Parts: sequence; C-alpha cells; structure tokens
Amino acid sequence: MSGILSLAYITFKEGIRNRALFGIFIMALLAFAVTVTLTDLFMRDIINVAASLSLTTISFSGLLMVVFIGTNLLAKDIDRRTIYMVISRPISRSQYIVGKFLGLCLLIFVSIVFLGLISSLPVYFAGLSYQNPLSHFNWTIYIIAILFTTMKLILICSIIIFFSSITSTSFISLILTIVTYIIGSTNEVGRGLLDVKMDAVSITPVMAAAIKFVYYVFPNLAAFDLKVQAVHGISLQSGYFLWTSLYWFLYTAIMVTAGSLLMNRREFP
Amino acid sequence: MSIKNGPVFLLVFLITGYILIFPAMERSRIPVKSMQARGMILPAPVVKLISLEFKTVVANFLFARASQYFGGKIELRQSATIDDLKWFYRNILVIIELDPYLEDPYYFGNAFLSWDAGRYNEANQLLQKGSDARVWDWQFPFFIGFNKFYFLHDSKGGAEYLSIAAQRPNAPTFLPTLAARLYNKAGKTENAINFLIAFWQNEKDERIKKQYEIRLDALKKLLLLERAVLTYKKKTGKVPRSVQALIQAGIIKNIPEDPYGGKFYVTKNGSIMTTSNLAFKQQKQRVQDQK
Repeated sequence: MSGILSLAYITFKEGIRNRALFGIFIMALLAFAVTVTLTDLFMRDIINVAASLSLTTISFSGLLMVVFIGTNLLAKDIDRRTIYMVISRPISRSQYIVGKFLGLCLLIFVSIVFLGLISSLPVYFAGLSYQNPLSHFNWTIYIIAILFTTMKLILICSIIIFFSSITSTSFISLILTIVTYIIGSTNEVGRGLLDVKMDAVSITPVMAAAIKFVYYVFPNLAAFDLKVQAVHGISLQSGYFLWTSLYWFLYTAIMVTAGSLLMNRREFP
Repeated sequence: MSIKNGPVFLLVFLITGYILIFPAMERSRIPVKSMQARGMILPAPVVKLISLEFKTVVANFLFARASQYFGGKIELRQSATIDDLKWFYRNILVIIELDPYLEDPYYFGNAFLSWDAGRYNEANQLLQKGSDARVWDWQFPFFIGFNKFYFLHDSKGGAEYLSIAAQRPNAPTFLPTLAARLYNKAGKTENAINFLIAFWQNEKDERIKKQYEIRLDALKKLLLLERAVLTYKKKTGKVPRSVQALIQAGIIKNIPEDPYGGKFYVTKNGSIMTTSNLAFKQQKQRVQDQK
C-alpha cells in the first residue's frame, strides 16, 4: 500500500514540475483576464457570460492537462524504457498502475482547486459591476459544476491509464484518449437522436445498434457537464448526484482494474 | 558599429515598417469587412454535436455574432432587410437549442417577430419556450400577455398571461392591477396606455424609452379623441362624421397631431383611427415586403 502512495506522490511531483503545466496555467489565467474584458460586450446577462467562460476555461485547461501531461507521465516510462526499472522493483504491476493513477488524480485535483479559485474572480467582479435582477446565478451550483468537471477529468485519466497499458507509444494513447473524449461528449446526443423521429435522416438497424453500443461502452461525459445549470442557477435533484457519482466511480474503477490486468499480462520487448 | 548590432537594427527597421503600413492595411480592410456575409447557420443538432461540452459559450458567441452583424448595419446606416431578420430568427432558434435559458435571444426574437414582422403567433411560441425554461422570469409570460392583448385583440388571453406573470418571483406590483383591468374589458386604448407606462418604467435603454414615449403620446391623443366622440354621442345621439365635427361641437379645441405623421379620423361606427396606423412609414414598408 505504501508503495502505491509513494508512487502516487512521485507521479504528482513529476506532473507539477512539467513545463506544459505551467503553460496551461498561463493560458488559463489569460483566459480569465480576457473574460473580465469580454463581459463588457454583452448586453445584460454579464454574470452568465462570465460564469460560462470561466467554466469553459477550467474544462478546457483541465482537458489539456489531462491529455498532454497525463499521457506523458505513464507512457514516458514505456517510451524511455524506464519501465524495466519499474517492473524489476518490488512493486507489482497493479500497484504501479494504481499508483500512477492516484498521482494523476492528485495532480488534477490540486490544479482544479487552483483554477477554480481564480475562475471565481471574473464571475465575482461581473456580479459586482452589473446587478441583473433576473439573473439566477448560484454559487453552490457553480462549485458543483467544477466538482463534476473534476470527476470527468479523473474519469478521462482512468481512460488514459487503460490505453497506456495496452499501447506502446504515448502518441497512440494520446490519440485514443482524444477520440474517446469526443465520442464521450457526443454519444448521449447520438443516443437521443434514436428516440426522435426525423424525416430527413433514416437510421438503419445497423447504425442504431452501433449508436447504442457506443452509448453503453464509451463514457457518457455529457452527464458531467453542468455548465448550463451552473450559469443559470438551475438546481438538480439529489438523485442525480447519487447516480452520476456511482456511474463515475464504477466506470473509473473498471478502467483502472482492466488497465492493471492488461499490464500484468503484458510482454515487454 | 560591430556586427552584433546588425540584428537589432534590422528589428527596429522591421518594426518601423510594420507601424507604417498598419493604417493602410486597416483602410484596405474596410470595404472587405462590410462585405461580410452573415455567417452560416448549421442545423441545431449539428451545432450541438460540434460544441461538445462548450454549448453555453457557443450559444453566447452565436448571439454576439448575430447582434454585431446588426450593430454593424446600423453603424453603416443600412436598414435591416427582411432576409436579415429571418437570418437572425434562425440564429435564435439554434441558440435556444444550445442554451434554452439565455434571456436575450427570446427578448429580441419577440421584438422582431411582433413589432417588425407581424408574426404574433410565432412570437408567442418563442416566448412560451422562454417562459417554460426560465420559470423564475416574469417577463416572458408578460410579453405573451401583451402580444395577445395588443396585437391579437384577445383581452382575456392577455389577462390570463399577465396573471401567470404576476405569480413569478419579483414580478412588478402593477401586474395584478393590469390583469384585472384587462379582465374588466376596459377600453383597449386605456389598457394599452397602462401597459406602455409599465414598459416605459421598466426599460433602461434610453432609445427604446423614447420610442415608448412617442407611442404614449399618440395613444393619449387617441384616447382624448375617443372620449370626445363619446361626449359627442351623448350630446347629439349620433356618431360624428369627422374629427372637425368634434371641434365644431365645441368638445375639443383643435385636432391633435399624430407623432407618426398620420391624420386622425373617425370611422363609421365612431372609433378613432389614424392614417399612420401608429407606425412610421419605414416600419410599415418592411411588413409589407414580407407579406
């Protein structure tokens, strides 16, 4: 157990030191500064726009972080063949996977807390400069939206772990993760289209089966996107949080477990 | 001068050149910018897919783009064509698919559909979507009520929606009174004036306030003439043949001037109309083009 935790901590430190992280933070800070000025362009719903842009910046920065740094951390070991050093150590491969994963999670968590705090500044200032009586913004839901974004990023980390345990270069796992992200963001809409009868589009049974497959197997990332709710202060029932969190936990755990299983069976050239 | 200074001088020279040509480049852009096409509108499901998790930002961007297009036209003193307005409306339909809780798309969609295009039922359909989404907002049921009363001549429907609006949080306190007046079938002109005063009080934009003032002026004059007709009827038992008859009967001193440039006249059954129909010439032309 201590092996896992110390590996997690090492992974976290490696991530923090990564220069790409620094670049992503600078970009996010710039985006927040721009948000403050951009809100002037909008007529009345300023706080909504500020919240919208802030959440988008957090989402996007988090995504960049996870995709570029995350794929790097694990695949680097494989690329540089330092993996040999790892597997010859008294740490099992499963422990290695879990440790790496937890390190990534910690990295994400700390970064999002930092970004989240800064992101609330443009929103706060927008609220000060123009009091729109019909604005329905709510800080609680805003924070919950950030929490859900963190959960989504952790889920994506687990997918990276999974892909990294079966691919041989960091580039392939990078591409696969990006593709999974895009599919995951849209598969719910695709599934929804099956229920809506559109005259212009005819869906063959094969296509319908494929859409359903993609919906069940790939993660439903849209479930973690609470931007609309946060920006307009729309509350959700507690049942939603329960079921979505369970879904998140199970999917993440499946990915990490499958990843460690596959890692165990792997032959290294 | 050692060779080390070479690159520095080159840089200074290049930057100077950049500063010098910039205004000329800017000027050359002006005719091209005004040629800007309106921008493509993709079907809503496609935009939803492309936006991934960024729907709210894309919705804001699309609305800003549409608004800026119109702002640009106003700046160049070009009037918006009916095609432009239709484009704007199609934009709005996509935007509310992406984020159904944004306020401004419904607001402007209604303004254009009801006042400019005369499509009152479509305006109400749009407002209904906004009202269903923004349950904390009293404005949209209020606008539906107004459209029903003023454009569709449905006082009862208007009063119903005003009552719905009155029940929403932070609703203005005059709403129940207005609703009651509509239910009471008080005169249409009086109710219209009451509505307008409510709008005028609530409006923050000075230009729109001015428009309300012009309309209020016209309606007050209309009301004056209507009351004069009633007085005439009581006195003589007949409907006056013209507005001049009211002056001759000593009920009014002179004919009020229609701020929209038309002339007030009396119809056969004694109601007062104006040749301008309470619209400036430009506005009417737009509606006619579309019909």
